[in-house]
Formats: sequence, structure tokens, C-alpha cells
Amino acid sequence: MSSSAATAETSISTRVRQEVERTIQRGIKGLNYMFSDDPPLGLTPKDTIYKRGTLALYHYRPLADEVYRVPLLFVMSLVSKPYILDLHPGQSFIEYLLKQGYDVYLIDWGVPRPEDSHLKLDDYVLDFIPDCITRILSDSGEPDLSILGYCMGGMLALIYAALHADGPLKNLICLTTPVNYDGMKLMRQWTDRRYFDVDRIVDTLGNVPPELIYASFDMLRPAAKIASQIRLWDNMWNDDFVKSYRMFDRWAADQIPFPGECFRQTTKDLMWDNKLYKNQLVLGGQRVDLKNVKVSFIAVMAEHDHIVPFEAAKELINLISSTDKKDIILKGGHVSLVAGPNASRRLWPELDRWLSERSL
Amino acid sequence: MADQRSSGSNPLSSWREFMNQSETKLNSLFNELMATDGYSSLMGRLTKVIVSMQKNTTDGLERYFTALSLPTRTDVIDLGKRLSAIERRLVAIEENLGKLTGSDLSDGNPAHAVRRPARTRKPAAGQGGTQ
Repeated sequence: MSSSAATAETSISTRVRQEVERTIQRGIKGLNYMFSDDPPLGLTPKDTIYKRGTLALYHYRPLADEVYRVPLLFVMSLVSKPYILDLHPGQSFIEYLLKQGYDVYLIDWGVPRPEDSHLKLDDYVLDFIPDCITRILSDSGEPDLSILGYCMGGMLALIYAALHADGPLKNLICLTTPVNYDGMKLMRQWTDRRYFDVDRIVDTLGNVPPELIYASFDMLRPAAKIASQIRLWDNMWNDDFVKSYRMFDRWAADQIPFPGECFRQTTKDLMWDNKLYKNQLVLGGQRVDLKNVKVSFIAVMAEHDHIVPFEAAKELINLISSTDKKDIILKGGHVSLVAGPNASRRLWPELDRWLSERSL
Repeated sequence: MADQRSSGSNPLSSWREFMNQSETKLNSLFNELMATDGYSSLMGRLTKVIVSMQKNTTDGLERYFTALSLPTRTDVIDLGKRLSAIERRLVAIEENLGKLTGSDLSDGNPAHAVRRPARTRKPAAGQGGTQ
């Protein structure tokens, strides 16, 4: 037998042994998976410095001996829970920023109650966010702050910035933020005004149920659910994979209701008429002109984002007047951009580099 | 997984590759189907039916609960609104009390505001981003 043939045989036998071992591990760990709880999430120590209805304003306890002067506020989407930004020690965006020396606050919108169905974009942008900012400035003793908005939270932050041009905002970071709703082709098609009776839904249900939001996100990649289950089984022997899967799966399934009036407004003004992109959106009697955004600005988009496609976010930088502005596209999807091992290698250090010199 | 990427001779690697490609193709195929007017129209009609059924059920239950002198969903929501208003006033009272007494009552957590690092941090040399 030649040496190359012997090597190949050894390699095959090693592979076979490895697969047998993994198959046994899959069985054992599969049972463990079914009967164990999800890992705890959102553990970074924090204090609730303000509560208002379901809204909670958190201040994370510093993890550095010296922090940057300018506090940083996270604004989350209205339909997702914020713990995606604070998954698990060592895999938490917030923990990373605290260790880099940022003073971090976060607005948790909470789970809207039935009586919150009247809330509109106006309430979030003209009342809740400014109210929280006032409290952050008072708590930190600083005259200005940075805002980081993720997904729809980025859009809320952007509108806030446009409507408060003389406000205390110093830096604005928009992650996967939709601005041109023509670019959200599937969502736009599904909510086509000829077929989608948004008034009937909101008038009947009040808040839009989380199941509907979850199903619509799922439908964007119909095969992903089954494929991810197969992948989970294939990697059941791998503890890190399983832990990561459980964290992301729990978050993805943990959707919250969309306040009814806000859903109506988002559907009609943004999805149908694309008013934000056209500078025609009016909130509280004021027109939202994105040209009013003049603060230091960075937009980050994900190359394979299926929820906020590149086409929906790419023109944001051209719509604002900031002179200090930049946008970047990173590998990854809508969620893996901000959380998980790839985010810790790509987005987190990139943002730290950008924000650190603007936080003095 | 790194393990999968480095497994060129793995007997299951071709199956994994096939699965990845199938997932991409199926997603594209379904997305094409779902991007049609026919699909949107069907989903729109289905949503209308579900919402109408929900409305009929809700209306029926409201009448039923009212007849039994039990609180309906509308009553509970009204009660929730009043509770929210009371909550708001309580927070405002707490804040005003805090201002008067010079303490922060809205938090209730004495650990908060204990550690306040100096806000003097500077980026490490060569770390700052550029425009």
C-alpha cells in the first residue's frame, strides 16, 4: 500500500470515528436540549433611572475606571426586545462598550399594553425620546449625548435628530436603518394598499399581535426555519453552537406587539407613501426634513440583511446635511451585524474607533 | 462553524453544502412567488377573514360578559388607562418629592449613582476613526 493511500484510509477512519462520536453526542445533548432552560440573557448590571408606562430608561453600571465624557443612548426598535444588544457576558454589545469606557443608557419600550394602541410615531419622537434625553443629561451632568439606533430604533433616532436640530445630540449612529421604503420590496408588496386593509386590522385588534410580526419576518426567508433546525441537529454536539442558537432563537421568537396607531402610520406614511424618504412626513405639525440632521453621523448596513435590505438603507447618508458623515457595509445579516461572534470582530471595534474620538 | 469549513474531505460536507444551496434556492423561489399580486391578494383576503372572525368573537364575548355582569376586555382596557394615568402622576409626585428632599426616589435603588467614574477618558493613540 502506498503512503498516500494509507494516509487517505487513516483520514477516512478518523472522519468515520468522529461522525460516530458526534452522532452519540447529538443523542445525549439533544435530550439535554429538550429538557433544559434557555441561557439567561441581558445580564449586564443596570439601574432603571426612569419609568413611564411600559417604558424603562436603563443606565448600565460602568465597567471602566474612566469613561468618555459624552453619554451614549441606545434606542431600540418598537417590535423587538433590547436584550439582543446584551445577549450574554462575553457576547454583549453593551458590555463591550462599557468596557471600552462608554457611559451607556438604553430605552426599553417594554411590551405595549392594549391601552397603548393609540401611541404614534409622534409620541415616541416628540415626547418619549426627548423626555429620556432630558433625564440622561440630568443624570450624567453633561450637555450633550450620542444616540445609537438599531433598525426601527435608528429611524426613530433619525427623525428625532431631524426635528431637534438645535438639541443636545452630538453623534448619531444608525444601524440597519430603513429610510427608503421602496427598497423593502417584499414587505411593501404584502402591505399593498389594494389588498392590505390596515384600518380593519388596527380598528379590530388595537395593537398588532406579535405573532403577525413574527410570521411576516419568517416569511421573508421561508426555508430558513427548517434549515436552521437541521443545522441545529447537525451541530448538537457543539455546545457553543447550541448556546448561540438558543439565544438567537429565543430573541427572534420573543417579538412584542406593535402599537396599533403606530402600525397604521408606518404602513400608510412610510410603506405606502414613502414620506420619510421624500421629506414629506409630518409629525406633531412639523415636517421631518432629514436635511436638518447636521451632527456627526455613521450608518452601518449589513450585506445580507433580509429585513432591512441594502436598497432601503443605502441612501440615508445622502439625505442628511452632516459634514462629518460616513456609511459602511459589513458582512452579515440583520441580527448578526449587532450580535454574535462576527459582530464582536466587525461592528463593535469599528464603532468604537468611530465614536471614541467623538465622545470627548 | 470553523469545523465545517475545514472539512473538505468530510463525508457530510457535500450534504451540508447541498442543504445551504437548497435553502438559498427555496428562499428565492418562495420570495418570487410571494412577490406577486396574486399572493398579496390572497393574504389580504385571508387576513380580512381572520380579523373579521376575531371581531365577531370579541363582540359576542363582550355581550356575553356584559349579560353576566363580568368585566369585558374594553372595561379592562379602560381600567388600564386609568391605572396608567395614576402611574404617571405617582412618578411625577415621586420626582417632585425627590427634588424637595434632595434624593432620588424614582429609582429606589441605593446602589445607583454610587460609582461615577471620571468622564476624562481619551481614545488610545491611533484608535480614532476617520471621516
